[in-house]
Amino acid sequence: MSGSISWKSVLRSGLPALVAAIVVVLGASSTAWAATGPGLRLVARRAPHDHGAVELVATLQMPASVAPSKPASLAGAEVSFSVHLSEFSGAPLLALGTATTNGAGVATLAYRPTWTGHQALVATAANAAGTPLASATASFAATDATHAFAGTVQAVRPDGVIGRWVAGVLLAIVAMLWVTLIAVLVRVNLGLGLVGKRTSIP
Amino acid sequence: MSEPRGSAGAGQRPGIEPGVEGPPALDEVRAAAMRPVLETPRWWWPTVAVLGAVVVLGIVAWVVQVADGLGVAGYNNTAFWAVYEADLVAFIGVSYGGAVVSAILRITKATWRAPLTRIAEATALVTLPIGMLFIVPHLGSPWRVWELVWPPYWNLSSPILWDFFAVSTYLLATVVFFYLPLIPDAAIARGLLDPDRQDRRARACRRLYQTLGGRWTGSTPQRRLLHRSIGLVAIMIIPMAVSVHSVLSFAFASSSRAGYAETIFPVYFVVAALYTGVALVVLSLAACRRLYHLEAFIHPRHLVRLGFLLVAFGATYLYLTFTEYLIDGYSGTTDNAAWVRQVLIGRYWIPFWFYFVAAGVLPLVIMAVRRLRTGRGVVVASGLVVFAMWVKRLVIVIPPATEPVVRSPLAAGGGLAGIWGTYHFTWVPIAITVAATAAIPLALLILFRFVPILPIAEMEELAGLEVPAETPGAPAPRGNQGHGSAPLIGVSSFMTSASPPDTTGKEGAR
Repeated sequence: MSGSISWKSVLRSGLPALVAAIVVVLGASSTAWAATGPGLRLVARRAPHDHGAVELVATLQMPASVAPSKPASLAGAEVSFSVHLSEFSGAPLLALGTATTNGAGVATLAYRPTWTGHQALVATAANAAGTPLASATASFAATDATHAFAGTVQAVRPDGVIGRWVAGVLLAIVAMLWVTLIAVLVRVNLGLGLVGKRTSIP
Repeated sequence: MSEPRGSAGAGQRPGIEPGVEGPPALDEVRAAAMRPVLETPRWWWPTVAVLGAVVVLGIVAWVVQVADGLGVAGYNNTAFWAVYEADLVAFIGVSYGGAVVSAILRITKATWRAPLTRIAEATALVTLPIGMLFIVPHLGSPWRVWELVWPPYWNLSSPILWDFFAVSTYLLATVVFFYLPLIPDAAIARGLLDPDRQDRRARACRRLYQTLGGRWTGSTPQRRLLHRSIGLVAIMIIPMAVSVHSVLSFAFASSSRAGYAETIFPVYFVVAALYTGVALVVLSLAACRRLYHLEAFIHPRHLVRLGFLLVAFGATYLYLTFTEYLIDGYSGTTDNAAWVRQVLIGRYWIPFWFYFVAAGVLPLVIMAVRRLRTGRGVVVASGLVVFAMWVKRLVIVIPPATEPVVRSPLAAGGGLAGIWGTYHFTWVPIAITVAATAAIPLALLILFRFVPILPIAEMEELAGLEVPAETPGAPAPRGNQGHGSAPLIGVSSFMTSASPPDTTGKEGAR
């Protein structure tokens, strides 16, 4: 388990300082904190009432020096949750969803992992104008996953279910069409010569 | 073997202007059919140059895509299928109309078919390979295309492989269907070439005609053999066209993605293909009629009759669209309802309703209103159909591809993540699509530089003349004995039967 902070997005926002925390919970967890500035803490934990789901909890926090004077500023921020894909080069981000912070600065998203194993999560908080405020990353090891597709997909495709003889019959039909068409060509070309000769002699 | 009749005489119909009154004469048919071969109009080279430049631009775009990846075409991990798949379906689809229209008219022995069949079959012949080529830009790694055809790599569970089998079989059938009626025409065309003309193209034409029609003498047994063969291929090509486009739909329908996994898709795709195919045949006929001065043979009433066919397919397609959306929307399943909503009133409403108006309603209105039901009206309707149906293919391909299917619900009920992917058009797919579009008229222009644009023998035969070859011992021509000025009664009976021909393009209104 590990946690880290995305400094770049915070610096781009022009905000002076950052406090970020990442707590990762699935069995064990770890937390990382920064010293100053608005920050985000991301926690992944088992959903209490939904087996197999993970609850992503992002908590927007202000530094101790400014928080008491601006308690309302924590509410209404939009937090976007993403996960890094491992199937593609560059580990692109797959958006999972968004949630809005409440008065305590907490935004929660239910996430149902679609593959097991290590998953790297990213949460980014933005204000109403879309300006990033802070971001955080977390990772966890998913032990339970639901298939990514909405429907039930059979792992075995038709040639396994129906049998290869169906493919054989279909291939035979295709071959028969080819043979028929080529036979027409041959027959016409040969036939024209034959019947042409026959009738051209008075 | 004697040479077929060359110039069939310089006879003119006394007091009759071609295409204005009365049936066209035999020499007019031969002259008109060979005009694109024998003459080079002033517009020909500039048109070919412009179309060629557009095609080259498309090739450049494809090279850029190969170098930089599918990302330059607007593809991304949330829009994995987009314009190329729509192009593939649309271009292969339009090829069916020509062959099927020609096959149906041949099987039903419609006498008015004669001036249309060559152009219809040629349209099918050129559009099918162009459509097939879209698989190349659609694949991110075109150098792996050969794995599709190399048996050790065959994946018999993949609809793509069966697409390949179906389309390539249909291509062979289209080639045969184009070639067979060309045999007697090649024999006739060989005699129509000026023997003194020895430039490179004339020599190439002579060689081509000798190869294609060298054995044709026009005898009754030869005709019987040819007719039987054409009839067999015509019967084969209709179910093949139906099966090919339904198999093409399997690539969508056999997936597990909402909006693609539709059992109605095979029928839906076939009807769409016939709809756009007939529309493209109308456009090809109208363009050839205008450019090559075939007004005496391709009458506006031909176009209007095809317009009725257009209406039949258009109304059917509209109904199938309604059926698909009704069932998916009514079922209320989360993923199906989501894409239906996005298409009807969400982010894709503009292209969908554009299709609905341009290809769903307007062609029906044009054919329903007597004043609009003209050759020109049908051409306008066909243009709308071809473009709007391409847009409809985008509506079929892109919304389901961008629909999120990863379960990451905000709601405890287990809904989808709700974040839709986005496909952005870039210049690359636009250039490739426009290039493919330009390649169709370019290929037709080049094809008709070598091949008679009208089926001479068929037109003469339908006129009851049977005079394509001067074969010793061949049966004597019927009717007007095959002289140059013989009127093509069978061909023109359609044009002259009901009312005096109209050159204003308003015949359909009658």
